[in-house]
Amino acid sequence: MNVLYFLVPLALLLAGVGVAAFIWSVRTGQFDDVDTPGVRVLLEDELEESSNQTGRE
Amino acid sequence: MSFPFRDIAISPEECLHCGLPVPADRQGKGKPFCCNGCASVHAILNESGLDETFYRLRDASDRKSMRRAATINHQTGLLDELDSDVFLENHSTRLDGGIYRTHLYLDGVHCAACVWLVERLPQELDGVSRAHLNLPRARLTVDWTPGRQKLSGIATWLASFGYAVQPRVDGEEAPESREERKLLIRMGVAWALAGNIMLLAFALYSGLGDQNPDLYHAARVLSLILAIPSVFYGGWVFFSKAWHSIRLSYRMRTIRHLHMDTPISVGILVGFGASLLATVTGKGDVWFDSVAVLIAALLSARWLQLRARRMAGDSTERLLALLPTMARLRDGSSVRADDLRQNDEIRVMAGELIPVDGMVIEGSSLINSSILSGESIPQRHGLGDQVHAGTTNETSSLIVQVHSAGHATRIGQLLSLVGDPGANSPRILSLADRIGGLFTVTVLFIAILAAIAWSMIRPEDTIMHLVAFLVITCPCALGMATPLALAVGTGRAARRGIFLKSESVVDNLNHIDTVILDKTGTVTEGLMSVSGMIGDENLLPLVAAIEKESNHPIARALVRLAGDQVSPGHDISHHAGDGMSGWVDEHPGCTIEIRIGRPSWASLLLNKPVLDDQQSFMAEAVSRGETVVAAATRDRILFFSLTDPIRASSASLIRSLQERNIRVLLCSGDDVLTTRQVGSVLGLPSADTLGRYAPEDKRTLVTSLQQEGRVVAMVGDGVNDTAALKAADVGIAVESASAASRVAADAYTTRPGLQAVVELIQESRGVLRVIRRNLGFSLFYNVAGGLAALIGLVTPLFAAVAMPISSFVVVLSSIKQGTFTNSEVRQ
Repeated sequence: MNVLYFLVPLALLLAGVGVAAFIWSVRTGQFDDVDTPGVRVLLEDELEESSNQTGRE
Repeated sequence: MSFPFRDIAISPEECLHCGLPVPADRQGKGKPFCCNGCASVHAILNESGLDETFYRLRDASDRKSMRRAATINHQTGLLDELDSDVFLENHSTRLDGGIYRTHLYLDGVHCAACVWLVERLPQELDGVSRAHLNLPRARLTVDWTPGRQKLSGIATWLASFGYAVQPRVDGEEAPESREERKLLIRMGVAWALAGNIMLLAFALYSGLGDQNPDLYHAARVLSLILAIPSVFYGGWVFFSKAWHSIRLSYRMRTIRHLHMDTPISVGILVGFGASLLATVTGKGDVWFDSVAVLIAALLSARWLQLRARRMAGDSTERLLALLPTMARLRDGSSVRADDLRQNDEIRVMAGELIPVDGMVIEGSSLINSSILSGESIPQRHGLGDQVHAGTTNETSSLIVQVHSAGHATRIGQLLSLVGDPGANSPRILSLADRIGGLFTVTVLFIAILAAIAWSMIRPEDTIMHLVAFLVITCPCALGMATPLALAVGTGRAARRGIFLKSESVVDNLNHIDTVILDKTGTVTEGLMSVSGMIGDENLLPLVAAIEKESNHPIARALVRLAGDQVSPGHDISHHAGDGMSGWVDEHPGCTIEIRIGRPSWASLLLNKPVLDDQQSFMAEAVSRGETVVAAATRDRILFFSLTDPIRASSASLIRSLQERNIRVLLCSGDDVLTTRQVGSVLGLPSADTLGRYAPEDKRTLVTSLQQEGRVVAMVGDGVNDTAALKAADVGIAVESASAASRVAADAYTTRPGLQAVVELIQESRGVLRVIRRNLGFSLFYNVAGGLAALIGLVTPLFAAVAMPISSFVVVLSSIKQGTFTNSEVRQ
C-alpha cells in the first residue's frame, strides 16, 4: 500500500498537466467558438474534390 | 457552367442561390432567381469558379444552418473609415512582420459554404495571410499587410458576395467573452479538483480507515489540500455575490434581497469548515467531495447561462461599433467626436456616418436613418434639417452645426441608458431570488432549533448533525433549477429567431396584464399601399413622374403602383402639408401642370366640380381610416385611397392576448381616427386605441400604467418606441425594428410577423413551468434531506450520493423541456 504515497501525487501531477492544458486552450480562445470548427472539417476535403473536378472538365 | 444535379434538386419556383420562392414576374426567364442580388452573387461565384463548391457545401450543411441574431444594415460609408489610420490604431493589433490583425463583424454568414468562401480570402486577395470566421457569432479575424492590401479592398470583396463588414468596438476580445473564458476556466478547474477529491473519497468510504489509518489520514489531508482551491477559487463567485446580498439586506432591513448564493455559501463554508476541523483533529466526518462537486455543478450551470445569454447581447455591441469616434472640422482637421461643442461646425463627407446630432447648414444629401428608424430607404435632408448621430450621409458632402455630441446625442443617451445596470433592475424579483431570502432564513431558523434540540438530547453529536443539516440543505439543485431551464429555453428560442437579452423576460412575461402595441410597422406592415382609386386613371404615369422625386411614404406607394418607367417632370415644388406640384410632358409638345396631395388643395387646380361618386369614395375611405390623396390637372382628377395594411398575424396576437385576459392597447403617432379604425378591425374597444401619441407620451403611458400597479409589455419597432420599450417591464422589438429599438428592448425577434411574439409569450409560460417544476423538485429534495439530517440519518456518503442525483434530475428536466418546439420554422 505504501506505493500509494508515490502513485497518488503522480496521478495528481498528471491531472495538473491536464488542467494546465485546459487553461491554455481556453485562454487561446479554442472554446470561444465550438460550432465553426465542426463545419471547417468539411472544407479541406471539399477543396481537393473541387480541384479534381475542375481538372476533369 | 451548369449544375445538372441542382436543376433536378430544386423545383423551378425556388431561387437557385438562396432557395426562396421566385416571384411570378421573374419565373420562366432562364435560371430562377428571387431577386437581382441573388442573380449577381450567383454570377460572381460562377465567374470566379467558386460556385460548385459553394453550393455543394451549402446543401451539405443545410440542416445545420442557423438563424442569425439581428443584423444591422450595411453602411456604405464604412470604407473610408476602414482605411483611416485611426481605425487601424483602434481596431487592429500589430503582429510580427508588418502584419495587422483586425476583428470585424460579418453580416450574412449562415453555413459551411459561407465559412469556405470567406476563408478563401488569403487565396483570392493579395496581402491577406489569414482569415478566420466564427460562424455562430459572425466574427471575422483577418491578418493582412497594410502595404499590400487595403481593409476596404477586403470589405469590398466580401460585400460582392453579400457579406457586410462592421467594425467591432473591441479590437481584441469582447469583454463578455473574457468573462466567459474566466468562468469556463473556473469551472474546469473546479471539476478537475472535484474529480480527484471524489477518487480519494472512494477510498475513504470503502473502509480505508480500518485497514490503514496512516493512509486514511493522508488521504484526508490531501482532500483538504485539493478542496482549498476548489472552495476559495471556484466558490469565490458565490461568496462575493452572497456577501453583497447580505450587506444589501442589512442596509435595507429586509430578507428579500438575500440571494440564492447566500444559503449556497453557508453550506459550502460550513461543510468545508467542519471538514477542515475533522481533518486537523482526526475526529469526525469530512464533506470535501460533496462540497467540491456542488461548486463544480453550480459553476457549470452559471456558465451555460452566460453562454446562452451572449447571442442576443451581441447586438448592443454592434450598435456601439457603428458610432464614429472621429469627426472632421470645417477646415478638414480631425477631432474626437466627444470633444465637439455646441455650434461647432463639422464636415461630413458622402458615405460617412454622421458623428453628432445637429442641423444641416450647408449642402443637401440623402441620409439613411435605418439605425434609428428601421427605414432602409434614404431620405433627402437639406438646409435647416435635423440630422442624428449614427445615421449615414449617402450622396454628398454636408456641413453640420453641432447640437450635441457623444453621450448627449439621441443614440448616445439610449446607449448609456442600456449600459446603466440600475435602469435595468426588474420590478419583479425573480422567482428563485424570492425563494432565496425565505429559504436562507428558514434553514437558519431550523438549524438553530435543531441545535437546541440535539444539545438537550445528545450534546456531543450536535455539531455533527448541524453540519449534516446545513450541507444537505445547501440548494445545489435549487441553484441550478432556474439558470439551466432558462439557458435551454433561451437557446431554443434563439434558434427560432427569438432573442432574449435577460432571463427576467421569461418571468416578467408571465406577470404582464397590459400589452401596448405600436401601430405603424408593428401591427401594420409599416408600408403605405394604394387600396383604391376613382377618376381618370390615365393620370397615373403623370403622378409617378412627380412623385418619383419624393421619399414620402405616400409618394413611394403611388410610384410603386404606377411604375417608375416614366420621364421625370420639371419645375417640381413641395408644398408642406399640402403635397407636390409640377409640370409633365404628357405627349411630346403637350406640357401640363399637375398637383398631387390633399384633395381640397389639389382640386383647386381643377376647373370643374368634383363628382358625387368621387365625393362618396372620399368620405368612405376617410371613415375607414384611410388616407385620401388626389391628383389633379386643369380638366382631370384622380383620387387614391391609401392604407397601411394590417399584418395577418396581428389579429392572432391580439386574440391570444385577450384570451389570457391581458388588456391590449394600440398606440400610434398617427391621428386618432386612423388608429381607432385599425383597432376596431382588430377587435379593440375604442378606449384602448390611442392616436397622436408622441414618443414621450408613449413612455408616460407606460409609466402611468405601471404606477396603477399594472405590469406592462411594449411591442414596437421604431426609434419613437425606444423610450417606451425601455420603460416597460418587457420591451419587445419586432423583426423589422431599427437597431436602436432592438438595443432598448429586452427581447427581439428576427422572424417576420407577430407570430414570434405570440410564441414568445406562450413559450415563456412553458419555460416558467419548467422552472417551477425544477424548483419544486429541488425544494422537495432539500426538505427531505433536511428532515433526514435532523433525525441523524445523513452521513457524508449519503450526501455524496443524494446531491448529484438531485442535480441530475434537474438537468434532465431542463433539457427535456418542450418549449419553443411546437412547429418547424425554416429560415
